[in-house]
Amino acid sequence: MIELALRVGSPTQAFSLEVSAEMPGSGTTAVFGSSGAGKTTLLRSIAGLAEACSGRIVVSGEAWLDGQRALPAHQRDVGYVAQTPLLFEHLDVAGNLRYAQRRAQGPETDRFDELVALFDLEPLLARRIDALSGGERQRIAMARALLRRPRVLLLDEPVSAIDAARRDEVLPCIDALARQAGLPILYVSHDIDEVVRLADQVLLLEAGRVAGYGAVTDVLGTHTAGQFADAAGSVIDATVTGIESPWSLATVAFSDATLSVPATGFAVGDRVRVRILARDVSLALAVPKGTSIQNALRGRVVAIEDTLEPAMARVTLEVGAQTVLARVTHRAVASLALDPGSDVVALVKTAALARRHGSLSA
Amino acid sequence: MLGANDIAALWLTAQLALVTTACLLVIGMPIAWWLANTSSRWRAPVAALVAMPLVLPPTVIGFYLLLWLGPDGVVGGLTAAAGWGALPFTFAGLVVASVLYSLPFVVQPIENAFRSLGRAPLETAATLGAGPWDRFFTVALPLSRPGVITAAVLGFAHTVGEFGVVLMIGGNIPGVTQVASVRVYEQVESLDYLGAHALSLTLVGFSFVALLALYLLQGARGASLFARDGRQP
Repeated sequence: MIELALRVGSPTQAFSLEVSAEMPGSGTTAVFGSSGAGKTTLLRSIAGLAEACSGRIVVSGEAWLDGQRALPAHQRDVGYVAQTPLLFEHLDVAGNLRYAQRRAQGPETDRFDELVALFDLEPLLARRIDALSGGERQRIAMARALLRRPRVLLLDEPVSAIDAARRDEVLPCIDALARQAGLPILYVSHDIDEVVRLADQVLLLEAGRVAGYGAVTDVLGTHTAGQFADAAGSVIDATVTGIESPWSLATVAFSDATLSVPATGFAVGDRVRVRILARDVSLALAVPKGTSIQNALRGRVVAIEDTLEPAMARVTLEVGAQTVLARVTHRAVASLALDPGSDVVALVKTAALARRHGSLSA
Repeated sequence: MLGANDIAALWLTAQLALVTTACLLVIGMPIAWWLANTSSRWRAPVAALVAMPLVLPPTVIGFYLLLWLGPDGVVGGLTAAAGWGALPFTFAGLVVASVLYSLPFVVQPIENAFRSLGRAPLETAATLGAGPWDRFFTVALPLSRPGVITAAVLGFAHTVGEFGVVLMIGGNIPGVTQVASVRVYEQVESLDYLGAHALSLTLVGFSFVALLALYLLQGARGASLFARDGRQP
């Protein structure tokens, strides 16, 4: 378990960070927020690299920071991969990996070959650092961080320099590795799709303060103000129940409802996360005919709230046990005479599917 | 042609330069590290003090060293008490004087190299479990190698090229304190121009080769001798 109650800088300064959170001892916690929100500062604080950091950091029972002491960075068992990771240019790739391996604490298990294979580094081992691409550097930095045998893995947008194809290879690797090793991951991202795909919990940061923290399926549906407005929507855990290959569609089921979603590469039985953005949901009183929108979910209005945009309302619906958000105009709310308790049909224009790895349900 | 005294002077010069360079690297490295990393208000005074030999007449340095190192001087009293005797007119005295005189030539390139490292390599090493000494020897020093080599060559060459300080502190004792530059001076004084030519051309040749090697080394990395960012990617 990771226990955080830390403060960087003072509130009188232009920027200060205050975070209190308890994170489970395994699984992935996404740190999500816009740039300047303090995501990187949070990771640096945990790694022991931030100056003027006070408070409390306890990682699996060991106090890294408390009133008595601040453990220096080299005594904290972290795997830290910066956004543009630095590799030692006076060493080759293998030298960089061995550097971490030689200094690792804890049980002597040689994971060198395993990690080299996992990150596909075999062809690079003898290469010089200045001849590497950004993606290669990030893979090496990740393998190097893991060779340190960390108790927590801190990843600062680790796939930002990796092309999309390679990303799909690396992300599952990180995920599988973390679960297998029971290693908690803090994963900084400003990409909501990555968060939905990888994270179990999400910590929303806004201007150095925690704007929300909890399970991804809970937090992303409820924190929809300010910088998170674009991400407003619902995240639903579901199962693939059918594949319509001629149409490149997958049918997913949750709480007695089904959705057809454009998706390829999925198989019946896959556990997935479905993300439905509020702006992709329209409302109707009955299932309409002659519309291009194929997905109609029957639900009940739970709440109608104002948004920052004067014309728009956010309607929270209950579809079975799940929550779906819709972003519609106030006029639409009035003309449909919607009130909490109204039965309504949610027309879902599109939804994104993300595969869940490993032991999600555990 | 080079005579026996010329050879002795050259050999002494080489020994002095080697010992001085070794001392300079040992002394200069921590000073450079401190100067590159400190935010102390003492930084500027210390930096100025280290750079003083660049602007002071060598005779001034020699004069004060003579006073301090002599039997009645502060340092001289200590060395006498330690049983080493007075340092002026000895090889050890030459080393002390040369170290002081060439200090800025060694400290500044190393300081620039340390400064251009930035924080990232050391922070990365720390997160990989390397303690402060470990970080210095396995990351900072190897990455600063061009700066250290520059410093060593400059320290060596500058020691070979010094005259005023060694003359003041060492005098002109053949085989003991008579280095090449002093020997040339003596030859010119006694109108032995042929001898002066032989030794002088040897020094000209050495200096050119040393500096050429340095520029080739630095040029391969696209940096200039005193550049702040001596270490290029």
